[in-house]
Amino acid sequence: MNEVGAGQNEPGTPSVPRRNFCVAAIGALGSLIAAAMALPALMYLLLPPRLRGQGEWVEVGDISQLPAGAPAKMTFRRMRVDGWKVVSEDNTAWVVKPSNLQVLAFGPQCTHLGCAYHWDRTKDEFFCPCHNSLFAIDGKVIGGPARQPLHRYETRVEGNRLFVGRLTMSE
Amino acid sequence: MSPWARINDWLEHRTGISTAVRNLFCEEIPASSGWHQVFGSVALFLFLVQAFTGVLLAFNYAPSPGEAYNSLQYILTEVTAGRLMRGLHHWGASMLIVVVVLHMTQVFLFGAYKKPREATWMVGVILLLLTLAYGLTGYLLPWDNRAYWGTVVATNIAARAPLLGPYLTSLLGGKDSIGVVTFARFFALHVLLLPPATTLLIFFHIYLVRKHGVAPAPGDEYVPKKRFYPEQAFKDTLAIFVAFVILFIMAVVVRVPLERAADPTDTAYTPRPEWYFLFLFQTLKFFSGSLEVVGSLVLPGLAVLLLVLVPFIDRNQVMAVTRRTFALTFVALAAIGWTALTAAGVITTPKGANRATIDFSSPSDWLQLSPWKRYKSGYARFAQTRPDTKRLMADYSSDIDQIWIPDMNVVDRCTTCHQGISQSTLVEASVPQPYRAHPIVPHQVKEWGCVICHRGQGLATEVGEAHETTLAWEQPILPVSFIQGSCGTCHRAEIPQAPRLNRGRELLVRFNCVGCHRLPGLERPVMLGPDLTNIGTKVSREWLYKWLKEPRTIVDATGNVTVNGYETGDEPRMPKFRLSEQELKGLTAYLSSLRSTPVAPYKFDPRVVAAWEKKPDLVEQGEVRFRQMFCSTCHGLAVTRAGETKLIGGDIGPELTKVGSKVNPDWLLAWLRDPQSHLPHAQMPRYAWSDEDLYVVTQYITAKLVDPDLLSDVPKLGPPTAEEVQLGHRLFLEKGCVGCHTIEGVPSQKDFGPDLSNLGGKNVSQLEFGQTKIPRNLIAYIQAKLTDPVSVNPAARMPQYYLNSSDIGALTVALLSMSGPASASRMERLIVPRKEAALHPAAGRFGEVYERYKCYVCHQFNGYGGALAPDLSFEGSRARRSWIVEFLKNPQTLRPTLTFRMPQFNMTDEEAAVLADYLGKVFQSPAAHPVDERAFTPGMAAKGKQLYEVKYQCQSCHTIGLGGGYVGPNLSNVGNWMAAGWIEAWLRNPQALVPAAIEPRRAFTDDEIEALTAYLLTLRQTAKPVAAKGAGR
Repeated sequence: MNEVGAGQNEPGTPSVPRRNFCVAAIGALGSLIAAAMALPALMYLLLPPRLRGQGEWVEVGDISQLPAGAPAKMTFRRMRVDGWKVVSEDNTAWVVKPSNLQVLAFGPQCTHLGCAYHWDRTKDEFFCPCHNSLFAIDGKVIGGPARQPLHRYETRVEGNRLFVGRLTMSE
Repeated sequence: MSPWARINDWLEHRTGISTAVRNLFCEEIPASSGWHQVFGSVALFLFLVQAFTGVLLAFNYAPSPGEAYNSLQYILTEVTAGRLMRGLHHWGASMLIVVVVLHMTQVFLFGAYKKPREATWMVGVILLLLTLAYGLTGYLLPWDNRAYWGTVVATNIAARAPLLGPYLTSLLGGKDSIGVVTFARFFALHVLLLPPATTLLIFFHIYLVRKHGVAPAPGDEYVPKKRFYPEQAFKDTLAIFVAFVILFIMAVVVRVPLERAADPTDTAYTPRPEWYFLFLFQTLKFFSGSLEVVGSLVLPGLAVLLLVLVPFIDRNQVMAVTRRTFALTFVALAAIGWTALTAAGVITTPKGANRATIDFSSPSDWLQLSPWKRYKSGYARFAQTRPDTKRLMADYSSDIDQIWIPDMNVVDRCTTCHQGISQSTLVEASVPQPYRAHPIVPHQVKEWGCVICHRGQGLATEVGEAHETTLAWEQPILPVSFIQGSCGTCHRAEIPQAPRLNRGRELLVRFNCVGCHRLPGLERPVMLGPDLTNIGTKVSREWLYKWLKEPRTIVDATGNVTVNGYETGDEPRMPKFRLSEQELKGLTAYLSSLRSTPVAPYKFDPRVVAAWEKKPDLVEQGEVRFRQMFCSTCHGLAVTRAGETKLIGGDIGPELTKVGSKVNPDWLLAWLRDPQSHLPHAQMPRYAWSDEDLYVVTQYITAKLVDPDLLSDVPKLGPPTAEEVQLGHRLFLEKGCVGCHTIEGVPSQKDFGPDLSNLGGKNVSQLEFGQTKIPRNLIAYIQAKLTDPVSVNPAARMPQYYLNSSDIGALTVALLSMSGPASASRMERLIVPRKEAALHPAAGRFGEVYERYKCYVCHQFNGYGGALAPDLSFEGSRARRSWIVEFLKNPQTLRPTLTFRMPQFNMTDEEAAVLADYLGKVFQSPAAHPVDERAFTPGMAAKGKQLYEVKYQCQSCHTIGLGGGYVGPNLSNVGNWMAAGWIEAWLRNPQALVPAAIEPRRAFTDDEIEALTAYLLTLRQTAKPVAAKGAGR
């Protein structure tokens, strides 16, 4: 059982090759087990869940009365997936018709730190009261600490009715 | 020094960790140590796995009963590797228990609990109990039916513990049932209390093992010890690895069930504990009633106690395993016992119990959460089993299907589940619902949707919401037997495909429901209840009493209306009003006082009276005349022939069996001479009576059509008093009699009863059921109302109609079609209106005669009129003028098989001529063309005769002279009767002229038609028929 060979110190101690094998095996098996646990755990923790039911179009309202060049704040109800819940929420969008051919719908949050901005009629610009960011009617930054233009919803018009999809970062 | 060594050094100096690790791993173990001692390490490893996966699960888990289930579904379906983590945790628990028991068994068999290791053993027993506690508390956390009901059983067992029971129950957080508090406590135990307790105890356990060293076997004292690391460590690692592989494979391959969310009301669920408790569960079956405690508490308690005390029970020296017979036997018996009990527990699980397992095995399985998605994928699977799969799946999508027709307000999602509704190959009854196709109907599903006919909630995507009454939508699906009600919402005219609806509408008219209720689209019947303005002149007070008390005056013991013993289906139309004695007296007083226009007695021609008065056969002659005039064509009469009493005659006018006892004789005379003077809307034609006829007939009626006992059960009433009359007048209004009966000077009452024009659209909440036991739906309400109005509302003013169940059903169908103004649903364009009468009212001299003799009561003219007699719309093309005149003066038997005959009206020549002219010139058929009869030759006629008798054998249906059949009309005089053009058109295509004609359409050649026509025109009876006595004036 216990071979007397090179590297053997005391009776009861295994031979070096045997010892090495045991050590290596412990290391290998241990690593395998650790990997088999760690990898799925990382995926579990870090990968986003499979989205469901997102990206549907929601009707915002009738834009036939919207004058060109004057944004209007429109609210609509939308379902949002939150973990295992689906929540029905009110969303807002600033809807503007720069020309009669185009409709833009901006997300309601300033791209600086997320405050609610509004349209200043006297100066024809979007103004955010938190840190004085300014945006033009097409969403571009014209002043203040914001770096990105206003986020836009995907839009679709059918007849007089406006539909919005996802909110995207503007290019 | 390498950086690694430097770090090591620093750590060793500060913490001493290297030495500790080295000591731990390099401990000395007995030489006999080997594979049998790996179980402890494996158990420790599995505990760590449980802790690790438990934490990961807790990162995505909501610890409250409602959300627990949802979050678990989320983990299983949406989180990457979520299913794996849950699988590891679930199977890890089972495996941990197995390994712990193996470890304990090994320790027991090897006697490693003996002095000085008693404490180690006892801590180990506690650890075992803690492991089982983990299993118990964790079982509830998914909060599905399995978890819920399993825990119910467990807590019930705890509750029954003597003395401690109630405290255990409150400790576990439930008084009567498992709820949020129980859940919270179980979660807290599982996640907050048990882990630190277990960890501490494990540390303690390992410390004790370490302190006393691994237990040696006999003979180890002579052999040098070995080190734990690396050999035993390797064995442990390999064992751990094997266990892990098994666990991982199980977690991936064997599905962990998640059943439906916990339903405390599901009494059909069979609870089952986890497999490692099944033996306990099974043991309980042997102890019932007062012995239950033995099985639930005493035995397990004893077992645990014994386990704990093992080191004190067995104090013998350590022996080799193989020599420990008692221990071995004990373990073997325990193993067998446990296996047997567990197997029994498994086998006795009812088959098919708890089938509602949602298995999230395939990536799209989470879709099955919605029932409609389940039906959809079920359809896809079903379609695969059919030969025409491709066609069945041509329009298939995984979304909700919807038929949307905005201008008809149709949003129907029924086809989401009823995928096969338009597939012609899915019509057989063997196709499972909801995939079966719709039977053939006149309206296409794609153009009309479903709800227009079937009602229910089209927008719904769940079965209950779509089919039943719910809080949000109160109109359930219409049962199929009443579906014709939906036809009626648009089709105001009669349609052949909806016979029940037609019958219902017919009944609504017949019973004059419009008299009290608003019902759009219905005409008032021509004969309502009689005008009562002069009722006092017609009948006696006693007769009124009898009638009002029970209009079905001839009722046998079982309540069936009979006429001299013969049951008749035609109830009197008047319903029963449930009148008290006082009310009867009042009403009869009032009505019998109505004699505004007294009846002037008629003065017969004295010669007629003189001639007939003394004749012995006066009454018989009267009967003969009565029969000859065919009064029974319109009036029913009970006659006794050969000992059998039968009801013969029509139902256009009242039944006359006992009329002689009913009416005042003077009134009768006045009526017969001019019905419309007493009742302007009477349908009875105004015969032109000769005095003789009038005399004999009335004598017959007053002598024979009587019942002397008719009024024998009526109390003596005497003349009416002023209070009675006043009471009667008030009652007449209060009871709503004016709805059917008019009295001059009494105003009509609008909306005496509720407005029913939207009855079909009423929601259940708008109906008053009160405290009755009527099922809460619209159809049951209507039927209860119709069957017995008082059963629905004790104070109902609606009288009692006597309807059989088929008629009640038909009325319900017609009422369900009353769905309010069409503009409400923007569907006016869909309404198919009732055809207006084309002819009525007629004008001119023709109009006067037509109205006098009421031709339209029996005959139809261009769609208007009755159906008793032939349709005269084409009579002008059919009959020759001279024949019409003759016929009108003296109606002949044209069709011997018919029992109804046209009465003799005793028209003047002028009246007959007017009718014949008008008919001849106006009522023509476009299919019949005038024919020049001079073109017919005797040769043609002879050929025609041949064809008639030999080739086509027309005599099988028609009579000429004395021979022939009785199916078609008698042709003996057809030459005088029919126009040649008609005969030709008829022979060419009878159904083009009369669609329902039963004459077969032969493919005659033109020559044959000519010949037959020529022959038929020769059939003329030259002798005039003997005129009946008294005919003509």
